[in-house]
Amino acid sequence: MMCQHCGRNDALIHLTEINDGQVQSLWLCPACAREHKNQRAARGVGGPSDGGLPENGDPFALPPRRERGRGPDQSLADFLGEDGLLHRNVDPDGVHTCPVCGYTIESFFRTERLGCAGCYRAFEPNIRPLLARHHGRTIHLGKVPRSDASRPNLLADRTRVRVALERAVAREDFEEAARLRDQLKALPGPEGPGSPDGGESHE
Amino acid sequence: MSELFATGDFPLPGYLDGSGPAADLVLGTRAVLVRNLAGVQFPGHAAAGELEAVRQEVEGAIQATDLCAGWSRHRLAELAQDQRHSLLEKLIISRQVANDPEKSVLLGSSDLSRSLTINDRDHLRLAGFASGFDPAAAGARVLELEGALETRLGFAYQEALGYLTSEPTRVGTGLVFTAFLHLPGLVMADEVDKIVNALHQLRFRVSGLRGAGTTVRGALFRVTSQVTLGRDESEIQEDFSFHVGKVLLHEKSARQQLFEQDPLAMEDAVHRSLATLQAARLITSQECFDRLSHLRLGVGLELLPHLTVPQLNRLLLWQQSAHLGLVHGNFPSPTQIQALRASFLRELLGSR
Repeated sequence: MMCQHCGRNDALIHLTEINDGQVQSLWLCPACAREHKNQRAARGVGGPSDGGLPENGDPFALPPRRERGRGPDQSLADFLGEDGLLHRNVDPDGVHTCPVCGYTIESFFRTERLGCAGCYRAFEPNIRPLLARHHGRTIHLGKVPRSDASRPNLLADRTRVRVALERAVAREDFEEAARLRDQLKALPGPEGPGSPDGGESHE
Repeated sequence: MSELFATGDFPLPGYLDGSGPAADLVLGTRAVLVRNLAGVQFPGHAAAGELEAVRQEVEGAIQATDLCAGWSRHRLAELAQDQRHSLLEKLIISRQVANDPEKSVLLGSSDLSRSLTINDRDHLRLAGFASGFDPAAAGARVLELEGALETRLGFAYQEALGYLTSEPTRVGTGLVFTAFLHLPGLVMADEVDKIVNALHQLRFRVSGLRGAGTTVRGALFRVTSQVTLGRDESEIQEDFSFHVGKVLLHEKSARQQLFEQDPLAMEDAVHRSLATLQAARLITSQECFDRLSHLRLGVGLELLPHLTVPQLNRLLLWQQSAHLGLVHGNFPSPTQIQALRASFLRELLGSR
């Protein structure tokens, strides 16, 4: 899994916190985890009394969804950005407005929604880390429209086989893993014969 | 008046008929699939004229689809408030369109096992429902519906990211599973926090029955899958079935343990709640949810042989405010709602 903060490095450290009864968990790379710890220390939070259940009310009632950009100190969420998911560092020279529909990146930050299909391309640098954090992977492996079904999707094929291989190894089915490894080698791409890979999209 | 809002004999949508697997533990399972038409801005950003064109195109495709023959159709903005909210209580429409129904149309089969909202957050929000815990059936229903429509509509799609949705958290397959769970054993055993935490780490969202931000009432929870990208439809469904299935096993064992520890206390709680529901002259929605939770637990533990799961589902659905509103029209005061709720419960459970 990728670091849920920077979306660039492998996540090695798992943090779980409960704030106002809400459980939050986060996988971070060592660099981001260090930064997180420093930020907490700077705010003077932490220690044994931090992060408990609410003292009054129904302990089974889930807290209302936190209003964006406000609310109590929620360290993991603060660390990620005010809504806990978006990658808000905007490249000053990058695209701020979708050329297809005129939707702005500020609107995207505010609503967490996009204006049109073209926004995915326009705001790609900001969307990709979000996809990595939310979904874990950044390449589509599901069904394709019937009109596209005849077109080979080498990228998805390679990813699909690689995922199946990881799962086979995880359940120690080495016979299946060996079969999948051979299948991966036979597929066109960098590890096999044939055309160059379209660029693996595991961010 | 459409059969969607019929009140005679307090009808139930198909997914609440109690026929599915583990129906005492799971009210129902829902699979939602979102799609957008290629070349048109998403509903949140599109002009009114564009959304009207989307509506016409989608409705044209539906009329040409055998699968959708005989479906009911409603412009949500034309419905009375209670009617619209009753659809929310039936878990058929999203809160988004319930609050902003202007350009939206709901179409659905008579048993509501399949439905479709036009111009929700996305141009199309397709839903498949199944009774009890049955993600495979719910998924198959919604995918069949999508398959029937995709021959007539061009969906926004990109090879690398799959189906493009207004929210990047749904891109890829656009497929989200939800199960509506009754977990009184885990609540009473103080285990529910652990389960919520574990599900959260597995990338599932847990909330109250009506979704994010709603309080948990009557030990009813909604568990929703979150990952739509990087897995195919069957993997999403299997992952959901596997992990939610485990929660159900924990719930069963928690119930069994609680009952074995103190069977008399359990029987007492169940029968006291039944007596309250049969006797109350005023009852709040919160108390009603909690008492019905005890009844449901009692049925699961075979302490109430004369009550059935469909009866419990009927009580649960029709005691809610908008459903009472369908029966009685608008209420002058909250007290009157409580009185009508109490009288409905006495009618169905037999008065004392």
